[in-house]
Amino acid sequence: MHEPATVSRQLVVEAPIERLFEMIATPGWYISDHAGDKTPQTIHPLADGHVLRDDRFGNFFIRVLEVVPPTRHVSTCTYSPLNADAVAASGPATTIVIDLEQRDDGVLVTVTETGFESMAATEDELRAMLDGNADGWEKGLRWLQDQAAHT
Amino acid sequence: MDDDVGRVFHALGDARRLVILDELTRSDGATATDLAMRVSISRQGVAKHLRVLADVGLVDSVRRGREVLYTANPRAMQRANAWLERRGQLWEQRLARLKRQAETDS
Repeated sequence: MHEPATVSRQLVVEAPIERLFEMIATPGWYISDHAGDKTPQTIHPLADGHVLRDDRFGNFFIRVLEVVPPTRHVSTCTYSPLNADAVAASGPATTIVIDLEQRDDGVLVTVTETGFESMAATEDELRAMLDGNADGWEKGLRWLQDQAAHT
Repeated sequence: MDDDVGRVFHALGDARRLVILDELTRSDGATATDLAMRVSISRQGVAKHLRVLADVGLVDSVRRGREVLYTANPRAMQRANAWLERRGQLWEQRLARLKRQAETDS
């Protein structure tokens, strides 16, 4: 039987579980480029989530579904490639479950992402998601710069 | 349309289509009538789901006399799996950065 599309990864971190939970509960902690460099981000709390505006990558609507400190955090993330006023709060979203488990050798961090079937995105959009949206935006900005240089 | 990975995931997001695809991957092919009997879905329902699966390249069809034989096409699934693998690698990078930052802070 085929299972719904799921991505799951684990890693042991030698740090206090409370500190780790604080980090993974920060909205959009994972949004950065390949090198891990972050661009300025602003977070606007809403009644049912947060809007994270990243100067480089665009806007993300993050809805928190479940918080069990310091062991579990469940949220959905909707990427909005449009302008800052058009964050898609109800658009297709993947669900990101993060579980923290204290073990003798550290804290086992497990990330499980599901919900890809809710996306009917084009391959280009999916590739942009894969690249942390960096490449898609960089290509777009380069295209705009090229256009500007020739007009 | 098998280059559209997002639509493949969308097509896979229906339990009845997964059952139909499972049946096809376990056999050398089947007609819509055969599938309807095997998966307990009406023939019209099976035909509708087969169209969705065929549109994204998960299923191929070939006419054989008065019947149409459907077979699973693994290429679209392989592309979707490759995308998921790259998505997993992205999470590996994110977790590695989390580990570096947390262990540096501690």
